[in-house]
Formats: sequence, C-alpha cells, structure tokens
Amino acid sequence: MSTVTSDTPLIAIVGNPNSGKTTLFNLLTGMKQKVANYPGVTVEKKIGECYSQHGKKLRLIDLPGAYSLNARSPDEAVLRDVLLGRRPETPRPDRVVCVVDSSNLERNLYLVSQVLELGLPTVLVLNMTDLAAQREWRIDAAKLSERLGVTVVLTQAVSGQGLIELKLALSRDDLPLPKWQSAVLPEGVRTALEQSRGPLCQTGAIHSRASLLEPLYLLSDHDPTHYGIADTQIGRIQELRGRIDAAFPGWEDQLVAERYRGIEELCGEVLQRPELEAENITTKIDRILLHPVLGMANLLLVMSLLFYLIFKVAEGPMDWIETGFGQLGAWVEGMMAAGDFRDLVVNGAIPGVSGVLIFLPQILILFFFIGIMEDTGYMSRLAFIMDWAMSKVGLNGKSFLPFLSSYACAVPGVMAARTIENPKDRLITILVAPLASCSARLPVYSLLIGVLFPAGKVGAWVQAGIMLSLYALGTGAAFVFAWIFNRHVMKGASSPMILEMPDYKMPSLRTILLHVWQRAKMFIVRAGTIILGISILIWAASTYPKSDTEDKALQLENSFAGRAGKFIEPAIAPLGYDWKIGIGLIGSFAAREVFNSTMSVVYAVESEDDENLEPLRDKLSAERYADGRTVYTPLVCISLLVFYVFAMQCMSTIAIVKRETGSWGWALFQLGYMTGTAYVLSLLIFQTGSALGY
Amino acid sequence: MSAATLAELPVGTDAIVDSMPTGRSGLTRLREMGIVPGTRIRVTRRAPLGEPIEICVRGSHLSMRNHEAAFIAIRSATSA
Amino acid sequence: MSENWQSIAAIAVIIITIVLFIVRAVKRRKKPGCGGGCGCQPRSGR
Repeated sequence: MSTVTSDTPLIAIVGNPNSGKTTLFNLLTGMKQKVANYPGVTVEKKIGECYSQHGKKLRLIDLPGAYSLNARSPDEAVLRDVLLGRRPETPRPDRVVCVVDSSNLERNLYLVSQVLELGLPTVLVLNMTDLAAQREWRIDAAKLSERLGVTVVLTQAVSGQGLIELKLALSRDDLPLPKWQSAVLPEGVRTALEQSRGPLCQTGAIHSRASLLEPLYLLSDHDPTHYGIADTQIGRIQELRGRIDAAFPGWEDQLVAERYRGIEELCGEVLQRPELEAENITTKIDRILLHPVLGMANLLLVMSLLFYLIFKVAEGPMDWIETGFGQLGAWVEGMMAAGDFRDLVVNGAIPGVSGVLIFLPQILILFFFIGIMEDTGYMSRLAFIMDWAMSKVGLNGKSFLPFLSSYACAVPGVMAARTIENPKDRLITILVAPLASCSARLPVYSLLIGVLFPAGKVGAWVQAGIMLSLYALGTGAAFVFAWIFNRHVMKGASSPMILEMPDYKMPSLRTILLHVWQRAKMFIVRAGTIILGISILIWAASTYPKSDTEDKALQLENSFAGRAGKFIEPAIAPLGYDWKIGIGLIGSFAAREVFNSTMSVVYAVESEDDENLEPLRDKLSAERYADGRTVYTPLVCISLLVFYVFAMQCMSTIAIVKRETGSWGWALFQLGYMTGTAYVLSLLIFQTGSALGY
Repeated sequence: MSAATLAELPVGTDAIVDSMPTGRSGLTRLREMGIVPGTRIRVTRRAPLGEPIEICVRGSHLSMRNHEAAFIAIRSATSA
Repeated sequence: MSENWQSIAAIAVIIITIVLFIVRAVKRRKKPGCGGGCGCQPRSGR
C-alpha cells in the first residue's frame, strides 16, 4: 500500500496508441487542460486537472501513446523518461493509469507489464469494452486485478461509461502497488546492467542508482538522440551496449519473448475468446477502403468533400468576419483625425490581420476533417494505400506520418522525420515534405481561386476541384522529387515500418472539437502577434519614404515596398505578375499567408477612403494596368497558384530544416529547388498560355 | 507446407511463427508488437502490387512491407 | 498639430515592432523550435 504525500498528486495516463487514452483524458479534464511542448523535442505535453470524488484536486498528464518503454521514437522516449523521472521539468508521476484496448488485450498488456514493473501505484483501465464484446470476448476483470495486484476499471470512454468508477479509483489514497513480475532478467544480463550503472551515472544518462530499469531501457534504446545527454557521452553508452550485446546476443529479443510468455499465461486465465475470429464491421469496410481502385476513389471523394465544404460552409462565417473588420476599420477611421497613426491602424494593422483571420473558418473545417480521419482510424488505411507508391519512389514507410503532418504545417512534419533511422530516407523526406500543401497555403489558394472564379459564377464544386488539383499537384511533385533524389543518393538499408490498423470506431466529437479549438487558438494568437507585426512592417514599407504627392498610387510606388516590387518586376513579369504581386511575393518569404496580408495592406494603402470596405478579392479582380488590361487574368491566377504550390516560402521551415539536417546546405538546396521549380513552372504556364491566346 | 516466410504466406491461411533473426533492432519492435516464435499469424490482405501486406496477430491488424515479412520464418498451423 | 503626434506614434509603433521581432529571433536561436506559433500538431498519443 502506498499513501500519497503530495498535495496534488500527479497522475500519468499511459497506453498504446488507439487505446482511447486521450479520449479518457479529455473526459476527465474537460477544458481544464494545457498543451505545451517538452523542451527540446517535438512532443506535446498535456497536463490537465480534475477533481476526485472527495473534491480533492488531481493533476493528470497525458503521456504519448507507445507500444513499449523501449523507445523507438521521440514520443516513446518522453514517455519512458517521464515515468522514470528523468525529465528535469516534469516530476515523476505519483500514480499511473494504464489504458488498454480490451479488444487487443494481449498486445496492450505488453506495455502494461513494463509499467507495472516501475512499482508505482497503478490503475488498469480496460477501455473499449464494447469492441471486446463485439468480438464476443470475455475478460475476467476480478481475476486480472488479483493476478496483477492492481485495481481494474472497465470503461467505454466515448460514451462515458465507467468514468465514475475510474474517478473513485483515482480518489483512493491507498492504491495498491502492483505485484506482477513478468520478465525475469537472466543472471548474466542482470549483473551486466548492475555494472553499467556506475558508468551510466557518470555520463549523466541516469540519475538514480536505485533500480535496474534505467540502465535496461537506456541500453535498449538504439537512438542516441533519446538519451538527453551531451553528444560526447553517447559513445560510452553505445560501448556499454556493445559489450552486453556481445556477451548475450539477442538478450533484448529474449526479454520480449519472456514477457509474452507471461502475458499468454495470464490471458489464458482471464480471457475467453471464440475459436474463430468473426468478421466484424471493420473487415467489411476495409474490403472497400483498402481495395486498390475503390480505396483510392474513396480518398479522392473524401478530399473533394473536404474542399467543397471548405468553400461552401465557410462562406457565411467568412463574410461576417470580413464585414466585422470592415466596420472596425470604419469606426477607427471615424474616431481619429487623419494622420499616420490612423493610417497604420486602418490601412496596416486591420487589413493585414483580417486578411488572414478571414480564413479561420476554413482552417477549422480542415482540422475538423483531419481529426475525424484520425479518430475513426481512417488515417492508417490512408497510409496503407499510399505505402506502395511510397515504396516505389524509395520513400520509407515511416515517411508517411511526417509527410501527412506537413499538410497542417511542415515544421512538425520535418521534426517528425526523426523517427526515420535511415539517414538518406530521412533527408529525402525532409526535402520533399514542404511540397505538401500546408495550411498556410490555404488562405492564398482561397483568395486566388476567389479571384479566378468570382463568387456566384461557378459552383463551389468547381472551386473545390481546383483546390483538390492544387493539393494533388503538390503531393505528386513530392513523389516525383523523392524519386529523383533517390536516384542520385546511394541507397541505404531500409528500416522496417509496422503500422497498426485499428478497428474503426465512432469518432469522439468532444475530443475532436477540443482539438480544433486548440488549433483555432493557436491560429488566432499567431494572427494577432506575428501577422500583426508583419502587417505593421509592410504598411511601413508601403508608406515610407513619403513622397510629395496626393496620388496614393504614386506614393505606394515610391515607398520601400513599391520600389522593391518594381525592382523585381522584370524578373516576374514573364510569369505574368505585376510589381504589386511582387511586393506580395517578397512578403510571403516570411510566411505564405502573409501574401494575403500584404495584398490587403497594399490595396488599402493606395485606395481611396470609401473603397476600403470592398473585399480584397474584388479589388484584385478590378485591378488594371495603365493600358487597361486586366492584371489578374485567369492565366495569371493559375500561374500564381502554381507558384505557391511549389515555392519554399516559410522562414520557420527553412530554420527547422537547417536544424534537423545540421547545416545550411540542405536548407538552401531545398529553397533553391522548390522556388526554382515554382519559377520555371509558372513561367511555362504563363508563356504557353499567352501564346495560346489566353 | 514447408517452412517458408511470411512474405510468401497465402492470404487467409493461418501459420505459426517459427523463428526470426535475433539482434536486429528493427525486428525487436515487431516482436514487441507480438510477433514472437510460437505466435499464430495470418495474412489478411496484400495490396494489389504485392505490398504492403496486412496481417493479423494476437487480435490486432498490422501492416508491413514484404521486406520485413521475409525475415519471419513460419510453419504450418495445422497440427500434423 | 495633431498630425505630429500621429506621425511620431506611427514611427514608435514601427520601431517597437522591429525590436520585438529581433528579440524573438534571438530567443529562437537559444531555444530552437516552433514554440507553437506555426500551429504545430506534434505527435501525441491517441
């Protein structure tokens, strides 16, 4: 028995991916959770609060999902480190809640067996009881509890069943300590680990000489970046591991087999399942979704639907936001006398920020969709469908997740590439990831598609179709470049990738909405800070130096921004762009969506007062050259859109690529090949189109 | 059926994992997912052009490429 | 005369903005990472 000494006990929630762990965490903590980052890694840190049945405050930490404490990725390393108390900023949890997918009991128990050996008060949650029941499985929870020595709670997280029992269990001050010892270390290995403790302490890798678990898990971890110690010391750890490997070849594998032996024995006593695995709804659905043709068709359908909704559903809210900001601008204008400061606010800050914030509804829809695809289990089917193509162009199976993440933002996508052990595969993944159209491109695509097809002239389906093509173009290009890069870099050893295909489940709307809300906050904060700052600077560049004239258009031309735009105009004119687009392009090199802000500001600065309330896309449509020609012809729009699909325009990405590849060389190469391709393709499109008379 | 590897196992047939090379760190993760000698395993589907393949082991469905599957030697599940 | 305060205020805001960006860039060098600003969704357990 153990009594809790701290005032607010810290309870760790752990479990396999897809075990419903996070749904449970969200249920317990509701909105009272904070998301941050573990310093130094790309892993999300989620801490929340809830109250026990006795009204006592409990702190919950949702640790990354993992299959084992033998870390094979940064997430799993964080899980291991937090549970072992190796993370300086995160105290060792006082208690652990292990969430298990009951319909996958055996494999889930692997992690559980490791966690139990940590000796912390633990509660075992058998989640997804409905799925187990569907398979006609019967689990003797009482026996399980007795054998493991821990409290067992049955839950069905999505519906909330079992939540009260769980809270009751967490409320106990005297949670029993587990009494399960699954894998007994062979004597020789044990001694070797004991001997390694001293040297490991010296490298700073372990902090406690008390147990053998730290050396065990550290020496099983083959990725030096997980150790969290100085690079100079890594060699020592590898040396220690080499010694054990030489003395006891295959010791790690033996341990795994040992554990499963114990688990099988346990399951023999507590789990009853029918002889033949009946076909459930997942297998039936998969017949279609994993079908070569139908699966791909389905994917295209889903994507089309997503973009259709983005155009259709977002329209209303976008108008409100636009009008709202317009009115705000008008109000401020009325409040102050004419002057620079008023100008800064009305023609700089407001258009700049609103130019980006308008797209909040679309961003929300995008992330909602992604949430649903993830939560239902569809993502792994996507990985399965894409995997063949990926293997053909030489992309590692593990490249899927980094690449997929890049559709939201390339920065975490590039960081996620760390899970790829093969350096060549990893480099290629990093190089092509930004070709996945990130969410920052969405506002640009939307704006230009809006100019291409003025509202009402075509249905949302056509707009959605163009959007889909743009995404497809980027994706296809990524595959093509991956193939090209593969040909010119030596082929290294391929590393295995194994992906779980969980049963389909009804998405937990609550979890998804919470997630979307968190993303919305991030988007709004970014708009209110970075985008605001950039807008102010763009306004400054478009206003100063002031020229002695009343003509606003001339003033713009003579400003820093105007001159910059004019300066690059010769280079971009063959692509069909004018100098104002040039200003937009320059601004976009900081961040893509800044294009919208820049154009908003540029057109606000030079417009007469009463034109300010027009939506940006109308202003763009109406723009004319001195000789009356339309600036934003359909051909120009397409040329510009293609430019944005390919060009590398994101300081954050360049910075992260430099960090992840260790040098500026690859980052600059990426900047070059992507932007170069953008230029050439836009050029081809515009010149060919013009020649054909468009 | 003589001992072949998982890469050649026909779709829908049950088999027992016979052996896997030790000491390869990549395979350790496969073991941790439950694929150890003595485990019952089945290929539920293969992508049309050969890979990836979906297998069923210990009640969960996993997908992998033939490259990994080729390391997993198997024997027949039907008792002699 | 009110024109004057506006011109000064505008320049002041611009300078502050530039300074803030520089401070931010320097801080980034010390602690690399997106800091959540780009709208990350780092991997997290489901």
